[in-house]
Amino acid sequence: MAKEIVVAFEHVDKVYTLQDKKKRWFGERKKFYALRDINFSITKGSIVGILGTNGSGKSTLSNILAGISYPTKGNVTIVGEQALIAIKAGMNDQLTGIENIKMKGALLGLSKKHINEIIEDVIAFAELGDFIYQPVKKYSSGMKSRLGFSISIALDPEILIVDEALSVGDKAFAAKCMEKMFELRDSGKTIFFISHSISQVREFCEQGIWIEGGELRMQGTVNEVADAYEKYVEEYKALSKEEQKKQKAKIMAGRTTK
Amino acid sequence: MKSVWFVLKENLTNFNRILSISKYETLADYRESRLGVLWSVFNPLIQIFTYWIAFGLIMRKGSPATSPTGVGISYLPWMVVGITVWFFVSPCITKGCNAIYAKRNIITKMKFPISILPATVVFKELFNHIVMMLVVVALLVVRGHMPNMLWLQVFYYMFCAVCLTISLGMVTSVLNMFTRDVKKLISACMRMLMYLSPILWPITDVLANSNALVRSLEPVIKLNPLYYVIEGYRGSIFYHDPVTMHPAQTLYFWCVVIGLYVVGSILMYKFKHKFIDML
Repeated sequence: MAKEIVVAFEHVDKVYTLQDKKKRWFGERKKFYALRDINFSITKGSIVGILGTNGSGKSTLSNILAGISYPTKGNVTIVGEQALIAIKAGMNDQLTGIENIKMKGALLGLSKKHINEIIEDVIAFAELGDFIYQPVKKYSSGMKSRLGFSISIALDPEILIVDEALSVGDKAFAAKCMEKMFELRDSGKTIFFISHSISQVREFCEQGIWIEGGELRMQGTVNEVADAYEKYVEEYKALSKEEQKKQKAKIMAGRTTK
Repeated sequence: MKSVWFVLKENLTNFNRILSISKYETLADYRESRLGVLWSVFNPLIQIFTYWIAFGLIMRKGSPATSPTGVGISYLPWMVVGITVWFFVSPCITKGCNAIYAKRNIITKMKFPISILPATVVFKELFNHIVMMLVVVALLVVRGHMPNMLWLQVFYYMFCAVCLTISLGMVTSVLNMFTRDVKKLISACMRMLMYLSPILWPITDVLANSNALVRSLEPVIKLNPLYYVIEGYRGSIFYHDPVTMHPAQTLYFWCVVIGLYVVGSILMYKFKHKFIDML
């Protein structure tokens, strides 16, 4: 039996209008395709790694996946609650760790009862000791990230989008996060994992999607895609500076239209 | 019509979310200073004192304020009630127009029902207003104004103020996303709105002592929906006016509120997917 499809992109475009050098009030502005004609579908429980160089459209894609941003054209179907692991969003420096957990829970629309249910887990996972009763302004940046990650991870959505979130805290905490991610993976969640660390993607994901210049280059098993992506990056690195520039300009020109 | 239902539903189903957000934001504000909550009482008191000296003692030489029905009320308590309403409505209007923009780091990071943001601003101010009203009531009782059943009408007018400012916030907060000039424009107009509303000067007294030209402005002054709310508070507390005494004004007020709400909902609905790209 085929598995249920939970995420489907059909001919998705995301277009931004660009400001010209001279400000123009009338007439067509230049358009920039952050994403162009993206098509893919993902079944329930898949672990998908999204690869691509800087500015290729990964973050735009993750924002659309998370329901924060919307495509200019095309259809996006998402079945179930999705959440982007956003570590720093909605934290208030004046409030204590506990209050921040409650506030972020409220921002995400959890009921008081639900918040009280998860709060113990969050406190235990964050390992902040007595600092949980201190205002967040007294936290080190690592502690802040730990608290943010712990809150996000406790929400238990069906579809998770992890955008470079695991580069937080020290090695020990990163390992703990990774362990938690594996736990979620095994519990049958659909996870999108966006990272520049190819080895992490290979280790964690089963499938891969590679986006380059706003277009879908490749979709397949993680090793296939990661190999092709790695090869591309190596080739790019081997080019001389001028050739690199040329190639970038070419991609850029392909994405902008009059 | 679909947009009105959508926004109404989003606000009602997220009512707990609205309250919690305003609660924690108020808490965070109080934490910023050592005296915290006391400032939400001290600050207005200092302003009231200033206005009382300038308007009550110097300009009006201590003469009482006259109600539209001809009741004379001592100036200080009369002004305190009006300005307490202003201290509630004014931040609702100025912060309401910035409601969406101020939360840009949240709406770009998580899926969030944007149309509830104007309401979170208003409910946050409502906490402060209720604290302030309790102080005002205590002061009134000390000065010998005995509470009666009509005072309960204040809750109705409070509700009016909440609906008005939320509806207005819906419109201005969306417009403010197009250009931040909206916020500048509104803050620039606030002082004018304050003097055009019957907060520091009793409309009856001023009109009685003015020429025909100023008197002809009376209907214009009454077009200001704040007139209904402010005089409503005073009517309940001082003049013993029941709500039913002003049917035409009541109708007019609610038409304005509903009109703003409909326009605000249409704007919210139309641009709800575009806010992120406007930032």
